[in-house]
Order: sequence, then structure tokens, then C-alpha cells
Amino acid sequence: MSDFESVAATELHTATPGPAGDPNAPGQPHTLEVSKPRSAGADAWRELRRRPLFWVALVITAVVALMAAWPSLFTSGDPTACSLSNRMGPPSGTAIFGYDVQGCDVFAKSVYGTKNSLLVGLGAALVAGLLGMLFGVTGGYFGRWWDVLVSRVIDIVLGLPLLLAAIVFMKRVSNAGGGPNVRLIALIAVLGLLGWTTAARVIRSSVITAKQQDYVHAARMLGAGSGRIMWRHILPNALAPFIVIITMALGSFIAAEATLSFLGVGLQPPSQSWGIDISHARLYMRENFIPLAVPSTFLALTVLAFIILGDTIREAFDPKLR
Amino acid sequence: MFRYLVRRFLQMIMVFFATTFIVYALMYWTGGDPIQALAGEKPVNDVLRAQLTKEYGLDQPFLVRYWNYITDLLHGDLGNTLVGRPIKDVLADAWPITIQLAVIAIVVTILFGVTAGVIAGIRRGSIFDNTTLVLTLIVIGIPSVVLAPLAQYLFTIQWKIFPTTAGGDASLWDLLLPGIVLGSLSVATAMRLTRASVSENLRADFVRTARSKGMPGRRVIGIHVLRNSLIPIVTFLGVELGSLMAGAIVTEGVFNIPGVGYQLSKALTTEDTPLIIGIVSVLVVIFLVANLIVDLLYAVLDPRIRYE
Repeated sequence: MSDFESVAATELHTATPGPAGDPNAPGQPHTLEVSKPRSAGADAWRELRRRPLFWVALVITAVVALMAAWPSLFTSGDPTACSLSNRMGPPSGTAIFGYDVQGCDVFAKSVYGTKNSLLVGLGAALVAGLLGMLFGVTGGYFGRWWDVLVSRVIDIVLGLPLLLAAIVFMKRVSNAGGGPNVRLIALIAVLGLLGWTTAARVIRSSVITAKQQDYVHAARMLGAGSGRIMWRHILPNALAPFIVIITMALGSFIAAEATLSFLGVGLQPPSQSWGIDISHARLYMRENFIPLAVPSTFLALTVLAFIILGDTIREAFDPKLR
Repeated sequence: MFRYLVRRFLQMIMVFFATTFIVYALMYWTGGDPIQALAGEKPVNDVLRAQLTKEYGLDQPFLVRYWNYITDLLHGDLGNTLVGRPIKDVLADAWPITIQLAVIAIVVTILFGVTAGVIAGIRRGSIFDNTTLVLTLIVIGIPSVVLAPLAQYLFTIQWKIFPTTAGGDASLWDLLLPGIVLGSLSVATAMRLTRASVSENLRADFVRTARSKGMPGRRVIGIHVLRNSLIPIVTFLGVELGSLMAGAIVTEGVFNIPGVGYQLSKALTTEDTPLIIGIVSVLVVIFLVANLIVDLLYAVLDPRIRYE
């Protein structure tokens, strides 16, 4: 944790002085404000930069991403090298949080579990984001029967509670006897396929509003095609709420992966997952709380970081909240 | 209004068929050999197999089988679990406990979430507002797989305030901690929703009118602001029922409460496919009905909303 904080502190110090793009006027940002009109994005960024919570969340996500890509940077322990003679052993050598009931290195298991959590979260967010964008923009833009169809499909998907439908789907996958990679892809697919509706709804409504704007009419009159209007003129204006929703969804997808693995239908033991670790350690928490606390902390901090990231971005983009 | 009712109802029927179809298709279309699953590890001879295939209608085309499942579901007949107990009976035993748990969770949500939200909305930017905002953010960020075991450890093992598990005939006291854990997720969202809508309504013209007429602040807040602010909360609580059910799977599993969520998590470990399908189908139907009720309530609560 001390590492986290010192990194956060240095980030904060380097980030706070003056607008990054104007090294010539660090002392008087106010004179610049008048002379130069700022876009909504730049405005939000100025707002965002001043929020310590945003930087904390950003640093946590960066550390988590680093941990997922190179787990050996954080621990030299091997999560699969378990020896029953170490059962519930105290911290020693590389195992800074001791050993769990199987004699596995608690910290190494959690560090190596990061990759799967982040893969599922990012993958599902990508699927959900693409689907949401595709259906939201086209539904809102073209309207008529296509919009009706898209709206009905959204209704149907919203009628399926995420976790329940994911349980049924993942149960089906495990009955078919899929390997670890099949499960990973299945998790990404099912969470993405069930999670795109909110993004689609938000995009759709902002597209419908944007469609009536003068600049869209002007672009059409200048001869721009549907694709160009959607991509260059409508989408950028709908992007802010979209980014917020996808960031928060990323957090909830990671939580859903852990929950499914906890229930035994997500990833399964040869794979490393915080959910599996929590479900195992829970049974022995009376004896030793540490093996439960470590993966729980990893999971909670990661989900929290994405939720805070989304929340601070939303506040920065929302002038009403200033 | 009547046209809206009809349209909303037709829409629900369509969603009902689509969702049950998806659930059914996922599980049974190519879902292994159900007869072998019924027989366990014993080999099944051809005569018995043919007889069972006929008995369960497995020789029928898929759509006919789906139709049979739907008609059975609508008649309340959910079939039997793998060990031969009617799923209807399993659910009948489990519902009362889950309903108690859900009521505790909703009461907790309203008591803490809405109250804190109103206070925070009135005193925006105050210390109370900022602390609750950060606190709720943290609660939203902690998944129930972390919160439930953590609460169990802290409040039943570390400090022995509550019983660790609830067991068969759970009293209200036994269900209190799991109920609070289940409700805490909604508390955070309810608080933020209430805060947002209260502070928005405080700026509305009708509030200024009420104040300028000399109405006492308590009455302005209690009648004018609160009533209008509760509309999004009602919607939220209805939609939240879905995540409440999902959260109940983890919470009931952790605290060993024999409710619906516990039965589902047990069915997952014992690979009891018919029970999984039965429970999920019923929960999906409840979710749809709850959403329908919320939409209708919305129309009653807010006469400004006109449906063509």
C-alpha cells in the first residue's frame, strides 16, 4: 500500500501545476481562459485534474493493469506451487501474506488472479461498448422499424437479470466441458451480450437529440453521407456519457466475474481468480482471515477504482454538478 | 392511459416469451443427455431410455418441448428436481425466508438511503453530503462476494453480535445482518438518486412558489419536494429487485439461509439442472412483473406523465 500512496503522491504533485499545454504561462492561467475558448472535453479535463479521487482511481487502475500484464513484477512467488506442509503458514520469504489452506502463496495467487479479472472486464466492456454503440447510434439515427426492433431487443435483454442469465449460460458451457480458455471467452461473451443495453439506450437518446441540431442538418446539406454524419458529427457528442457508462460497467463486469467464479460457474480452479480464492478462503475464515482478506481487497479496490473513475468523469462532464 | 396499459402488457408478454425461450434454449437445446443425468452414473438400457424419452416428451421437436415447458410454467408446474422432489415444494419452502430477507433489505434501503439522500440533497456541499457521497461510492464499489463474508467475519466472529449462520427456522434477528448486507448495495444507489432528485426539485418553480407563500420549510420539504423526489426511487426499487435476487444468491449462500438464492446456489453445486431452470424461470417472471408494476405505479404517482 505504501507504494500505491507514494506513486499517487508523486502523480499528484506533477499534475497539479498549471495547464499542461501552456508552459509559457504557468502563473496566470486566468488570462488564458478569456482569450482561448475551451471545448467541453478540455473543460472537463481541467475539472477532473483537480480531483484527488480521480488520481487515486487512475493510479489503482494503472497498477492493476501492470499487475495483469506482468505479474512477476509484483511477486516472485508461484501461485501454483502449493505444498500442504505450508498449510495456513505465516508469512515467509516471498509469501508476504502467508499461505492458504492448500499451502498456496496467498499474495501470489491474488497477483496472478488480476489478469483473468481484467481480461474478462475489458473484454466484456469492449463487446458491450461496441454493441451498445452500434445499436444505439443506428437505432437513434435511422429510426422507424429498425429503431423499434432495437428497442424491443433491448427490452428483452433488460428482462434477463445479468447474473441469473449468466449463471444459466455458464452452466451450459461447463456441462459441455469447456477448458479454461473456453470459459474465459464464454464469460466475456455472456457479460458483453447482456451488458450492452444501458450504453445503447444512452447513445440512442443522445443521437435522437443530436439529430435535430442545426449542425447535423448543415452537414447533410453539404452532402455528407449517413456514415459520416453518424461518425463525425453525432457520435462525438454522445461520447461522454458513453465513456462513463462503459467505465462503470467494466467495474461491474469484474465484480460479476468474481461472483460467478465464487458460485462455481465462472472460472474454475486451474485458472486463477479472486472469486475462486474468496469462495475457498471463506470456509476457513474462522481459522485464518488473511487468505480471505487479500483477494477481497484486490477485488474491492479494482472494482472501486473503475466506479470512482466513471463517477469522477461523469461529474466533470456534468456542468450542473459544478 | 388504457392504450398505454395494453401496449405495456403486450410488451411484457413478448419479453416473457423471449426471455423464457432464451433460458430454455440455452439449457436444453444441446445440453447433454438429460436421461443419463436422471439415471446418475448407472448405465441406461435401450428399453428404459425409449420409455423415458417418450415419458418426458424428448422425442418431440424443440418448439413443442418449449411450448410444454411454458404451459407447465404458467400452470405453476415446474417439474421435479434431480432427486425427485417437486420444484414447486422446494420453492414454497424457500420463498417466505427470501421475502423476509428482501423486506429487511428494502426497509434498510428506504430508512438509510432515502433519509441520508434527503439530508444530503438539502445540504448540498456540506460535510455530511461529501462524506456520504464518498461512503456510498465505496459501498457501490464493493461486490457482495466481498461484503457478505466480510460482514460475517466482522459482526459474527470478531465481534459476536449476530449469529454466524441463520439455518432452517431463522428468526428476524438472525436475518437482520444478511438483510442489511443485501440492502447495503441499494442503500448507496437510493441515497444518490434521492440526493440528486431532491436537490433538483429544490430549485423547481413550485418550491419557490410554496416558500414565497410563506409555507414552513418542513412542509415544503415533506410534501412538495419529497413527493416529487420519490418517483425515481420507486422505479429504482422495482428494477433493483433483479439485483436483489442476484445478491440473495451470494448472501443466502454465505449466511446459510435456506431461501431461494440458497437453493439456487446449492443447485449449482449439485448440478441440478431442472432446479436451476425452474428457479431462474420463476425469478425472471417475478422480475418482469415487478417492472410492470413499477411502470404502472409511475403513471399513478406522477400525473404529469401522459401516455398518449
